[in-house]
Amino acid sequence: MCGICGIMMDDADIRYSHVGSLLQDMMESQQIRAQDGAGIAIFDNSNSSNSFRIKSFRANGEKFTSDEINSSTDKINENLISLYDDADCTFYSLENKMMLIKDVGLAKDLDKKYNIRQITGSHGIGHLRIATSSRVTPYNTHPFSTTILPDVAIVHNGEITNYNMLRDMLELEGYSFYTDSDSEVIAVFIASQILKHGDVERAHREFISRADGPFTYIAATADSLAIVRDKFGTRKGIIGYNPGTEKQPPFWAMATDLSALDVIGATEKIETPHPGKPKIFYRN
Amino acid sequence: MSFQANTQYINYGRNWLSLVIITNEYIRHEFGIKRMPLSKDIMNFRWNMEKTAKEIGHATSLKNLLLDAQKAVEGNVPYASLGAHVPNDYFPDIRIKNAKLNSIQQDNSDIDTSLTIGGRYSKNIIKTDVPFSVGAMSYGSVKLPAKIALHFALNRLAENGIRVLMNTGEGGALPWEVYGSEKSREHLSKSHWDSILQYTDRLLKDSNLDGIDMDKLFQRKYPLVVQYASGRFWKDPSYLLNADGIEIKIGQGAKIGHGGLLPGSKVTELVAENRGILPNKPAHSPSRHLDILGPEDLVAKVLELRELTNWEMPIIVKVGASRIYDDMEIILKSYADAATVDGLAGGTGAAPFEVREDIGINTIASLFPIRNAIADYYKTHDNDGFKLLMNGGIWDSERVAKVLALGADGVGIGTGFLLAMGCTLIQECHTDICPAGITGSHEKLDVENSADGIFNYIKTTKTELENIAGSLGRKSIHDMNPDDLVVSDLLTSIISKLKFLDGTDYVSKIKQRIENAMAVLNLQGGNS
Amino acid sequence: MRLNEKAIIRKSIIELCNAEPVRKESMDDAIRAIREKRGNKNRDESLWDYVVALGAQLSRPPFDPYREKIKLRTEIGRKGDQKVTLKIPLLLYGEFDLSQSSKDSLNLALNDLADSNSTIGIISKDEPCDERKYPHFQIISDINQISDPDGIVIEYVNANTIEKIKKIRKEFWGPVIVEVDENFSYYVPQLLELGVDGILIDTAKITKSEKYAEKHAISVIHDARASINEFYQGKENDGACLIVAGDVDSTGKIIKVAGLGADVIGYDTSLLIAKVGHYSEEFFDEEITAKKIYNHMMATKNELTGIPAALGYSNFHNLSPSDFRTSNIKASLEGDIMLEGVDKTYTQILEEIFDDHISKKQIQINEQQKQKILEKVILEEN
Repeated sequence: MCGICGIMMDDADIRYSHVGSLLQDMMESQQIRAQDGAGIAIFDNSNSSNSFRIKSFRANGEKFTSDEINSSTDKINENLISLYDDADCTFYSLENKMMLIKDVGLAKDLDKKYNIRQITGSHGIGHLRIATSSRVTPYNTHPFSTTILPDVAIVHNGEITNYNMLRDMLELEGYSFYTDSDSEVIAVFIASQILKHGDVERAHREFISRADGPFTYIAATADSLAIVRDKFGTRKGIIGYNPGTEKQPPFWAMATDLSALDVIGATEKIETPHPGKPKIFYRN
Repeated sequence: MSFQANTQYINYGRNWLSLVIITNEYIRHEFGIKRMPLSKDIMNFRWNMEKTAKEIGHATSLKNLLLDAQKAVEGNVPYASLGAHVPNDYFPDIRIKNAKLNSIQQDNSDIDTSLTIGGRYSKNIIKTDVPFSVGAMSYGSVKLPAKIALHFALNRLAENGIRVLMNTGEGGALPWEVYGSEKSREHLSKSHWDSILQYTDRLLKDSNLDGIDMDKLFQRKYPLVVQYASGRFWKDPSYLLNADGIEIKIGQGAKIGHGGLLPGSKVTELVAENRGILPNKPAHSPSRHLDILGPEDLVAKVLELRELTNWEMPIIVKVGASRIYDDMEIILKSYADAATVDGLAGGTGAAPFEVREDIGINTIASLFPIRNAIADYYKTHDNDGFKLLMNGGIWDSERVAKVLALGADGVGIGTGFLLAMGCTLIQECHTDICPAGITGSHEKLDVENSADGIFNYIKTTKTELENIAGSLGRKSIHDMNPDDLVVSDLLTSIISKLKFLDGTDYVSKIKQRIENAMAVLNLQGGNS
Repeated sequence: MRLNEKAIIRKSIIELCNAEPVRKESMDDAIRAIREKRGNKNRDESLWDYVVALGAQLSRPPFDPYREKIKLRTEIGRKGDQKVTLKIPLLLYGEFDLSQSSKDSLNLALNDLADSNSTIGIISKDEPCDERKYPHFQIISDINQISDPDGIVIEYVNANTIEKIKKIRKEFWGPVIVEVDENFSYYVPQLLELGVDGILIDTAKITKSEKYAEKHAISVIHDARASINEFYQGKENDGACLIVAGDVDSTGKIIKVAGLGADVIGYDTSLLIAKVGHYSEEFFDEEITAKKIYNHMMATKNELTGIPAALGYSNFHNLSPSDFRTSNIKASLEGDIMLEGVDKTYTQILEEIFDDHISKKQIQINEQQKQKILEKVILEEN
């Protein structure tokens, strides 16, 4: 399924770059790949408040609306449990420095509705969805986030074929799932590994060794952005660099199609990530 | 012992040996087996394994011992052919209410049995007069005389006003299929045409069929669908452009996820030339199209073929039935005109035994998720003439009618046509012992007789279909619906959602059982 | 398909091919008639035949074993420094009373397999051979019997076995596997707590016990996996493995057993081939017999990589129950396998109908009563 993209600003001092605008351009250029849904997650580390946002989709018949609860650190668990018990609500994001927005429809519609181009930050990821094995609903759209750790988001292109097995394993360990999408297992797995070992690279390596099927995913935490391809390299993924101009600070970009790098001028240092080896960019 | 059909466990308590010998003699006679497909070494070793197993009381089946002996002596993966031995295919547990195959009082010849494919995105529409087509059997997997018999039979039917769709299979089309019309020969250069005629000549001579009139051969009056499979076995684009439709083959019921295979022994020089490959080497096609990894790639492929054919040709996507709801959802979104779904019982010229037996679900079982996927898609889309074609285990008019009533628009028949040509169902198509001479052997197939058989098979099946629809009071075979069917078995009702003869379905049957259980356990519960 | 059904199909089509326009009865009518005459229609087929796997098509692409390497490797052992590696997840296991020459050819074949990167292991009462390149799991009943094996297998007899295992665990560093009886669910968590590395179930033995009298191997495997999973509830899985032996005599069964939860399969066809060596030649030739064992295993290996690839897996161990469907209610009940097409188990269907029925009737029934009622309904099915 899908088309994915990601942006990492090269210079941490420039906090207010238009990551949203860049992502929107990349998504629109890849729209031909998928039309079922679109979503983004953008990280802004200037936010130092202790308030967390818990986002969920509330079902009203066939329609969904996005709910948001503001919660202090000590209330998170309580709020999550009450959300879990509410059968109409589907959790989709736990965020502090992150801004995660997703919906069904085209990338253009997402921008119209949520003004994606105006969102600023240091890095971000975007996704266009074509459904393969789960229904077309807002909560099955990417990016996926977790209740385990705040500010973790992943976008995914491909299939995790042993999804059921990984999910059973993680559920046995006590982690909850909220959708029936195979991509959610990436977010939960990565977050659970970071929680255990505190090491992003190790988490990705572990995932590559355990996951099966053709996939490329981009995973973002508050401090890192990683693009990962399966060990056979069956799915596409490409990285490029834009050295910047006076108006535009330099940045790294990654996407499914080269066209997405072209449209934002990230055409230097082009490379494809090595199959089975995570390529990780840390926020400077 | 050459058959793999007998799954009966060795019964050590009785006189098993004589039993086996008697069964063997019967089978040899019944199925016309003249010689063993397997080497003497294998048969000896299998025999010894059987004796040892009997001595030590080791329980296994004859079928397994034969496979084990093949592996031990040759070190290769054992192959099998035709369809899987499905222990439960549901068909006999479904009946058509009041349907009569035979109808003397009533003339049903005006009943509509036609089928159209295309028009959803394509400019052209394939129109056939029967809702079943000749399933994908390629030259190579069946020998030339069988292909010619089919060609002649279908031409004759077309002359009699019955157009039947033919699918070439993945091994490329034969010259008279590609260049069977005036139009297709229009732009051929003289030298090209000569080379085609030369190749045809060699083909016919090789099968001792050089008496066939070339003019009669080089006319195709029936519609042809060519397969676009992962092996891409064809010589030039005329293969695609001169056909009436293209079927993108993702998989087939007999070897889902495995790709195609033609054993080296069947890749003769002529077959190799037709496919554009090396002779005498097995022709493996990859398990997937190397450029179709997911739904967006399928969309790209369909659009590519649409551009290539000027948006004229209907495009069909064929999958084996497995995760069929998801797959159907993808096909519906892929700009295809129709989908072909091949059930577990679907046949093959050769597949690894274990792959054929163990992967895929039954034709009847796949129809419910398919109907769901189509209904879900058309909740948000206008009806645009998407067609569903089912394959796998469908051999006679009644089964065709059952599948159509359960939501299919058309069906593909493969093994049925082989049977019409004299196939004895020994399922040794992957070897060279075919007693009927259809697949690989030195037996001679009588082209004229076979063509007669096919001609009658199609005509009678059409008549029976008309009678079935007519006896139900329908004007068209496509007006049949699930209410025309009844089941006699709980599981079949669960799988197909059909009702029993008394009008109840599995839900009420189970509720009745729950009520009974509650009464026995004295748990009527208090009203709250 | 039975032979007599094949004959009907042929006959029916031949009738159609004759010029007479219409048949007396359809194919399905004729098949139904002989089935009714036969009575119980499931008589001969094994329940395994009703279980099929879901292949990969569009919603997931299949792998291609010619291009992509399919992993079969398995490790037995829960601690890092004492793991035994198998390149094919099979352990030869079975009581075959082999002659010395059969054993020699077996040893030869297993070494050849190890040399070609296809190591399998063996479980045996014998003392391990000195020059071996493959893992040998010795069956012992007492700690004194250990003679340099790579791992040991001990049968669970009674609570004293626990004490023995504790003692062994202190002195022996390789993997310890416990062969369990039909009451495994009571003590498997305790064994795993002790640091046992694997649980071996012989379904042929267990289905003969009273507890599993009417049941099939499928339900034994299902229950054994469940009791191991129960132990790992809320813990990180450190790889205690389930070894299933007994009813496995074909590649299809290996795949299905692995899908239902076995990590390693106890296989005996190689032992049968070793024994058959005495029949096939006038004099027992060790090398020829070894070659046959080797050939057979290499062909089996190809099948074992081919099927996961067709299912969209690059690792044999990623097969899971969700990849399997059945066309038989009994199989669904025994292994919690989903019915084909509807993608629900028979129990799930019953529960749905039950809940609907109860809520419509507005009566209150507690969970315990519900289970009792459903059990009764299921009994009626059989």
